[in-house]
Amino acid sequence: MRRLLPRLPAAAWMCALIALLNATAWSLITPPFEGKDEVDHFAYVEQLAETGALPSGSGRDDEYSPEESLVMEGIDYYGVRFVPHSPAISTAAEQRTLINDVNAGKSRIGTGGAGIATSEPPLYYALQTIPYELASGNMLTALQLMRLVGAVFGAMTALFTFLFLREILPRPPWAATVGALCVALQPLLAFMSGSVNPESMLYAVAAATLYCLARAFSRGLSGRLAVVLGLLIAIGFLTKLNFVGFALGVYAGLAALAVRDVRSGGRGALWRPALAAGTGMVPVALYALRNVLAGQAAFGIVSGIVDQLTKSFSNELSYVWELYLPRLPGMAHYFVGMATFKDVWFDRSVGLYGWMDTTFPAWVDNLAIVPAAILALLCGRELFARRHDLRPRLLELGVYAVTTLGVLVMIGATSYGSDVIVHEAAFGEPRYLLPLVPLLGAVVALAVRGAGRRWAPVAGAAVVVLFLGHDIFSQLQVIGRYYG
Amino acid sequence: MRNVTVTLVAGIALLVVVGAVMLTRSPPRVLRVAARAETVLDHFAGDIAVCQGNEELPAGVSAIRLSTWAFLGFDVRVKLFRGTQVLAEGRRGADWTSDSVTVAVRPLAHAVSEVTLCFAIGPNTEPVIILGTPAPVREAAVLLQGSALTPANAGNEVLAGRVGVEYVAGGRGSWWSRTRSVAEHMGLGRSFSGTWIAFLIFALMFAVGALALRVTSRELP
Repeated sequence: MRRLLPRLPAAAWMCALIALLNATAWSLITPPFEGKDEVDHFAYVEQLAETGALPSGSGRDDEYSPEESLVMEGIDYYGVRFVPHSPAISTAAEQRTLINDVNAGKSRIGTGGAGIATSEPPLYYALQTIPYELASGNMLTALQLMRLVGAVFGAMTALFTFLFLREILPRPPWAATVGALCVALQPLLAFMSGSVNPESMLYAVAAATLYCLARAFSRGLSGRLAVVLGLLIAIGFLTKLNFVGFALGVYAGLAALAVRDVRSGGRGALWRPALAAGTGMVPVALYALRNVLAGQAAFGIVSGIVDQLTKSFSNELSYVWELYLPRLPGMAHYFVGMATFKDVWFDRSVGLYGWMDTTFPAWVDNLAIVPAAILALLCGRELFARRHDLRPRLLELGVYAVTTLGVLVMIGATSYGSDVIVHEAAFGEPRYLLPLVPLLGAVVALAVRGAGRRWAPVAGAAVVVLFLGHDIFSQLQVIGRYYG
Repeated sequence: MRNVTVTLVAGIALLVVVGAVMLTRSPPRVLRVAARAETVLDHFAGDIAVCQGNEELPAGVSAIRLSTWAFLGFDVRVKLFRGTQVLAEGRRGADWTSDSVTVAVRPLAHAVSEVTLCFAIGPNTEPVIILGTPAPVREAAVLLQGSALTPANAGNEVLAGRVGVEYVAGGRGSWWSRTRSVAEHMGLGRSFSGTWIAFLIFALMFAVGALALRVTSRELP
């Protein structure tokens, strides 16, 4: 580990500290269980800690434990969730009732399920049993401690983003600092890191994986790095199912590294990429073996998604395309009257907090187009100006593109299943894109460089203030929604 | 280095000014709750248009909040009629989600009774749930037929009650005047309570800002 993290610059630690404090603030701002799907993720941890068994069942008709149900009643969970004009509990009497509910000594064992979290892998939840136990039976204290663990993952995400950026954009070094600072101040990342959700760990694992890949491309894949990369892939698979999409790019990266190493060192060099790939696949193989022995589909709900992909490939392709981009001629209409790239992905990236019930007014979303467009133009300018330098790194850039594509297709395919097959809601939440947040840092760093040698420092300072302002106004929006 | 410092100072000053101005605004207040979102009235997965009569429109209403649930909320149009006369109308783009959608309308100077409220969601390809209060058929909301958003298009199909509607207007006290009550409110809902939570959050964010500016000013040339 020391070789991978050799004497980190002070700026790296500062970025991590900023992300930690930021996510901690968000963890205190967001009322209990108002993080997205937080009740289900908490139920998973509770089930694991109280019974030692993984959740089971369909995830649809599960009942929370009597204690969790009572606390949810105490905070008026169903009255606040999804209702933007309904604030959190606001009287001393409600607070007393809540404290009585927490101390009522109700059972912490539910029906064995954990809602939408039931099918998720166990690693994050197993880690969260530590703060759960430390809280000595106080559910709200446990929830807050678990949120702080998420804040630590937020700090790790910023740290690995810094290292990733220093690896891919070493000159000037401060451009990487600006990129990592913006990631540390990114409000959606801080909101997610400040709530109980395995995605906070997924973001950290994804950032670390991208750093290792970048290091392998720039300095070669050593045996030690191959082991670390393999372990990260394995941890990713054990953290959240969404990692499957991200892993597509990681395996493309390993394949690219294998080809490069074979060209330069012969077939004997293949063992390192193979070691990383094999180590990463161990949990997947064990999971598949367990399912096959139990007479179930080898890859659980992922098998269902793959089956569905093969049955209606062209429709699904159209759907995935339209989930992000304008419809092309010949495609079926899936989102008539909606510009998904703006109405869903851009606007909700500007602000979508709480239980999908806290957004900015439309004029803020429209105003945000201006700085976003400036950043995109400056980034494009820099890439164009450095196009000759990019040529030798096309393989590496291709790997980041495939990683992005993998994440987008994973979200799209899952959304197709929910929206078109089951006739439930489409998935349109930018939090699913946050495993790619180091690439956002790269865009910022490139944009700053794109401002030219004279103006780059000024652009860097301006963009840091912009992200800080976005963070603070997002918090004010959430405070106004829950406590106004 | 000097340019960076100037940029940081100017940027922070701008944030403070914008924040101070925003806090002079008032949160919206509900003038009248016509029906609450107590139950699911119906599910749809396409375009819908609904009217319900016997509404009381208070004076000064600047927005109408409809109890409709959607993950991806599409275009919403609202019209308020007295007989065939359109009293007010508004539109909201495909940018909403959750249990309600608020559509801005031009306020009227006086209250009006016997108003028919009509709204349409579409073009829509996503699931929408209409929430409201159970009511007898003669008082329930009616689905419209045809494309025009008018009570004249009312069909025979009625919902299971009245759609949840709230009439909203601008609030009276600014956010500034509510600072103390907001801070007290932030101290509730956890196992530990007190206004100190608001101060802790402020301190954390002050540290975040100070550290970010320090790193920027130290690192950038």
